[in-house]
Order: sequence, then C-alpha cells, then structure tokens
Amino acid sequence: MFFDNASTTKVDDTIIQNLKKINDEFFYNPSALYSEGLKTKIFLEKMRKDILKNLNAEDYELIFTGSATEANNLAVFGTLKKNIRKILVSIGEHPSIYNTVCEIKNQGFQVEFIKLNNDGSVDIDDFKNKMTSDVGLISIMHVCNENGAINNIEEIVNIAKSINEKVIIHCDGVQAVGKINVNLDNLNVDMYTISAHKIHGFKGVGALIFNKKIKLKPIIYGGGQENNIRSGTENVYGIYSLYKAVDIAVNNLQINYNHVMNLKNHFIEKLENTGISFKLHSGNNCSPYIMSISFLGCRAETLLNLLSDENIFVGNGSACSSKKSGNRILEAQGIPMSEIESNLRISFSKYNTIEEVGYLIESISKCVNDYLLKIKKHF
Amino acid sequence: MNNVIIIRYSEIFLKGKNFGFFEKKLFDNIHEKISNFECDLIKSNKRFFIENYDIKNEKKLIEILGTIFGIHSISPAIKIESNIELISNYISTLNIKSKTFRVTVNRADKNFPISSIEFSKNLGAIILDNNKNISVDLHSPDTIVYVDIRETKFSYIYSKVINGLGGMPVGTSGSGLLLLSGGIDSPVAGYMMARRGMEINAIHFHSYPYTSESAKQKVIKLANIIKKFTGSFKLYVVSFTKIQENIHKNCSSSFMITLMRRIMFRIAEKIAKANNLQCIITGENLGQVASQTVESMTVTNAVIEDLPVFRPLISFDKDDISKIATKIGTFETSILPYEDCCTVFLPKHPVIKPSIDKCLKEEQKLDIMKLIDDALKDIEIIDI
Repeated sequence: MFFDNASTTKVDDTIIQNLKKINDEFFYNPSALYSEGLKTKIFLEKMRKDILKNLNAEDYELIFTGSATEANNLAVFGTLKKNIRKILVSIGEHPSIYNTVCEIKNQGFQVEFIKLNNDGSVDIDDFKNKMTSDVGLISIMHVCNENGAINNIEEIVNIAKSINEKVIIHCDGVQAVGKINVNLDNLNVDMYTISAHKIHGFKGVGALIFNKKIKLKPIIYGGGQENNIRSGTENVYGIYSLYKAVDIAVNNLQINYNHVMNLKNHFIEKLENTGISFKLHSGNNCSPYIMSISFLGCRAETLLNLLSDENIFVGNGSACSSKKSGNRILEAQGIPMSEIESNLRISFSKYNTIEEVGYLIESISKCVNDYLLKIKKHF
Repeated sequence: MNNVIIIRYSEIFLKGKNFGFFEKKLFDNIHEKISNFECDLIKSNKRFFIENYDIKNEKKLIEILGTIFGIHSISPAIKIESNIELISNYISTLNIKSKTFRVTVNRADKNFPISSIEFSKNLGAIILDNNKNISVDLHSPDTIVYVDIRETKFSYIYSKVINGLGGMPVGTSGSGLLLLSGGIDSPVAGYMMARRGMEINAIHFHSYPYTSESAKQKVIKLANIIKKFTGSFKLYVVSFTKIQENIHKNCSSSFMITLMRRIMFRIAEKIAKANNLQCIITGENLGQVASQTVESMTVTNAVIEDLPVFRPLISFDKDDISKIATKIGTFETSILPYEDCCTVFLPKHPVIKPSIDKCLKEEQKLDIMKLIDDALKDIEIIDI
C-alpha cells in the first residue's frame, strides 16, 4: 500500500490505455516537415493550450521540460540578469529551487531566505521585512512538499508588486496542481512550475508556465524546439501524460479532494484512538494530500522499515532529499530535533481507500508499540 | 618498433630465495586484471612488459596497472632494436613540448658500441636540431628522455614514469577478515592491508529494521570499490538485530557499544577460522571515539582466542584517513548518512574505560553462545 504519493504516483490507467493510440498516431518528430510531423505538432500545441486552459492560464505561455526540477532551474537561470540586486526565496523550497539559488549565491548574487511559520507556511511578516524595491526575483512554492502547507500566493504577489511592480515572481506548483484549486489568472504570478508524475502522469516531464512579458533565456541549447527556449525533441508521450493527468485531476478536483480529506480525517481520528503518542506538523491551512507527522520516541528510518515489512510504504522527509542528514524545512518550522528524527511523511492519492487507511493505522499501531517495547529500558 | 608498457616491481626486489614466488604472484595478479584485453604480458629480466596491445587501450591498461599492489612504476614506451641509427632516427621524430630536457641513456648491454654519456650527447643534439625553443637542463629538466638499452638486443625509449601503488602483490601475505561498517575508516583499513599483500574478505553486521537496506547496499558498494585493489572477495553479512536488542534489553546502556564489539569480534573470529582466514582487520583508530580507547580495545581483544587483530589505521589522524579514502574513491560513499548499526543504539554516555571483569558481569545477563550461534546460522554471503 502506497502512502508516499508526494514523492511520486502511479500512472493513471487511462493514460496507459491510450498510449498505443498515441504511439500509432503521434510517434513522429513534431519538427518534421511532412504531414504526420505537422499533425504531431498540432497535437502538441493542442495539449499545451488545454493545460493552460485547465489552469485558467490562457494568457500565459508554456514550455515543456524534462522535469519540474528543470523547470525550476529554467525559472531561475532563465531570468537571471546581472542587474538583479536581490533574490527572495522561502527557506521551505524544494531542493530544485533551494540548491539552485544556493548556486547563484555562490556566483555572487544576493539571496535572502524567508522564514517559515510553525505550520510550514511562509512567514508573511518576514517576507514584508525582506521585500524591498531592489528585489528582482522571488520564488515561493504553492504547496510545501514536506508538510502540505498552502502559501497565500495572491497576498505575497500583491505585497511584492506594490513594492516593486517589475519584480518577477515564480511559484513552484508541483504539489498544488490537480490537488487544490489553481487559477493562474488569480494568482498573478509570472512563472509557475508543474510536474506530471505527482498527479499520475509519467516521470521525466514537467513544464514551466510563464507570463508572456517574461523573456526566458534557454539553459539547454540545440535544435531550437519549444520556441528556442528548451531544445530537444519534444517528449510527446510524456507530454501526453502531463496533459491527460492535468485534465483528469482538474476535472475531478473536488471529488478527489473530498475523498482525500476524508482519508486524512479518518486517519487522524483513528490514530488518536490508538493512544499512540504523535505530533502532526501540518497545520489547518494545508493540503490534505500531505501529512508531516512525528511518532514520538521512534526513529523514522526504523519505523519506515518496519512499515515496509507490513507492505506499507511511507516517506521519510522528502524522498528527493532523504539522503541528506537533517531536514532543513522541518528545522525551519521550529520542530525540535527529537521530533524531526521521528518524522514521517504520509501522503495520499485518489487511489488510496478508507480500508487501506484502516490497515495503515493498524500497522502503525503495531509497529510503534513493538518498536517502543523493544527499545524500552527495563531498569 | 612497437608500443610497450614497462612495469617495474616494488619492494619484492628485496626478496631473497622467495623472489620467484612473489614475482609469479604479481605476474598472475596483473594477468588476471588485464585478461579482458588482447595483449601479451611478458616477464623479462626482473621487469614485466605488456606488448602487442591496441594503442587505443594503452590509457586503460595503465589505469588498471595503477590499481595493482606490488608495482613500483609504469612507463609507456617504444620498443626498438638496439641499433644506433634506428634509435637516432626515432629520436629525431620526437616533438618535445616543454622548454628544457635531458637524455638519459642506460646501457645494460655493455656490447652496445657507444658509451652512455656519448650516446646521450648525440641524441640530445638530435633533439635540439629538431625542436625549436628548447634547451638542455641536466639538473631539473621539464622532460627526461630515457633510452634503456637492454641485454635482449632491444631498447626502450620513454619519458613518462608513472608511480604505481607500491606494496606487495595481493596473495603473498596471507588472508584476513575485515570488519566493514560503512564508515570512512574500515574500507581504508582493508585497502592498507591489501597493500601489504593480504587477501581480504569482509564481514558486515546488519541491523534491519534499525538500519535500512540502503545501509547494506552502501556497504556492498564500498566493497565493490575496494575490490578494484583487493581483487574479488566474499562479504559475510551477519544479522545483528537480535543481539543488539538483547544487549539493549538486559545490559547497562553504557556498555552497549563495548558488548556489541566483543560479540562482533567473537563472530568475526569464528567466521575467519571456518574459512581459513588468518586474522581480523578493523579500521579502529586510537582515541577517535569511546570504543577506540586502549582500554576498550583491550576488552574487545580479550574475546579473541587465536587470531591476531590488525588495526592498520591505529595511529592515523582522521584527516589522513579521509585523504586515502578520497584517493581510493570510497569517501563519497562512506559519508552517505544512512544509519549504521553502531549509531541506532548509541548510549548517551558510553563507558570509555571498560574493564574485562565488568564486561563479563554484563555478559552473564545474556545467553551469548546462543546469540552467536543463531547469528552464525543466518549469514548472507555476497560474492564481491
């Protein structure tokens, strides 16, 4: 049973079933001049348009990339100019933004990190303090991949633009698209990153959506595909999976949201009944898809292994960064080290069921109690 | 005239009557490692030569020779008939890019019709004639052109002398069982003993679920890195979970590490003896952590019945160990932060100066023989 859906998700059956047809009709190179190449190009453009439509972003452009990490890199390096004085980034960003801005900091740019509240959201007061008229680029994620915290992007954009109307604002929406309502017209950000494999599409495909006023510089050079911004033959199958995944997720958003919210509520209610000592680090304003939770007294890695033996797969912090010791985001939330060491990330998808959550609770209860009994000192 | 690689021996030169044994072992070790390449390995007058290889593979062959203990140095060279005119002609084709040079002729074949000094001068003059902006510097030249005139009627011309790893050929100094933890030190300890000619096998104590499968994979990866130097070996993976839980449950927490290590040593010695391995090797280093005081080592050594315990890193600084780990390519893997079996049950205040009496008293709370027997029944053997 898979409860690590913030790291990746199972590909939707509809996408798998349609692949044969896509392969038969659109395996051609979209840059080819013959009719079938052109048809493939038209199909690609239709998918691009539909994704934008589903996110209420019809006035935006969209560049397909090889991953959301690449899209985030493109957002930073593609807009970086020597005259940018200051860059503001939340300390809670995914490594694909955090490590990217650390790199440009090493190159001499001034980068400042915005603090987090206890619930994992960006501290708006700290943002107001650091938002000055010389800030040229801002990157703040929509939904945090560690704890599900939802940032108030509209408010952040309003504050930022009122101080410097020319500031470029990027938002990493990887954990938001298809899970909470995303309306780019309302958000009013300049750039927005999306990913396929977090919403039942393929790994290896993402996109950067951006305001037409933004002049993006390429970070990959070659044949000039994607409007000269992202060279490389377009991954038509991957892009199809992104398009279809967005379409399915956005059109079933409320049903899936209610279902997952129900799973989360059921989980917390049942967990409380077990008497196990735990602490939830996801606050009220957060995505029900992601829960950051500490099982007090248990080392996360051991508990993860014990659950794995019960055929239950959960996350240990962010899967992308689980090789690094410590956890930058949980630390920024002000969570004590003992709770960080016992922290697991449980993340749902539309495919999880109430029965599965029942088994999850049963297994957690068994594993935590066994573990605590084994490590308890008897004298 | 053809390309050859000259391989010079390290200290096995110093061996007396046993020289043949050491030389043969080194020959076999080299032969095994280059067996994938089409080439000839030839023994000739206390040197080896690789001949008849595809020049495209020369770099790769030199790289492989750089991982074999017992080699002092390596030189890619031109083999040419010992004839003044032929050698002079070849020297005239050299394009030397550095500013200064010298020619060093070594005339092992005393029948060669011209003295070393005179021939050096003549060849130097040829180089001066054929290369612009270059001058002779006999004391510290940028390039030395060596001309080695052997008794075999062949000469070798080269300018590169690449240092080998030194040490002794693996397989000439017995065999040992290395305690491989996944940290920085133990792979280096294995490397150091292999450098003295010892055949290495390794044992790893795994504590699933307290340590993860990734921690075991990390150890397998480390084993595969040192294999490049040690040759193939067996990795014995012993499940240590029950033992740790029993110590934790029954014994004083400050003795956790000491007791764990005493049991690890017992198990290691049993596996070593059962597989005809002659010693135990650890990466211990005096004073690095609480379990590495002289008192701690005394009480862990006390459980060993027959075999010697070698600690090649005992006097090294951590920095020096890290440098070797970087050089041999284990460092980056060693620092991956997975839990290892020592950290999970790490007591807040481990005993720093344990005594054997106290250890024995603590061990009475355990059914040690059964715990060890059970662990020995459940060994995974991985061919590295």
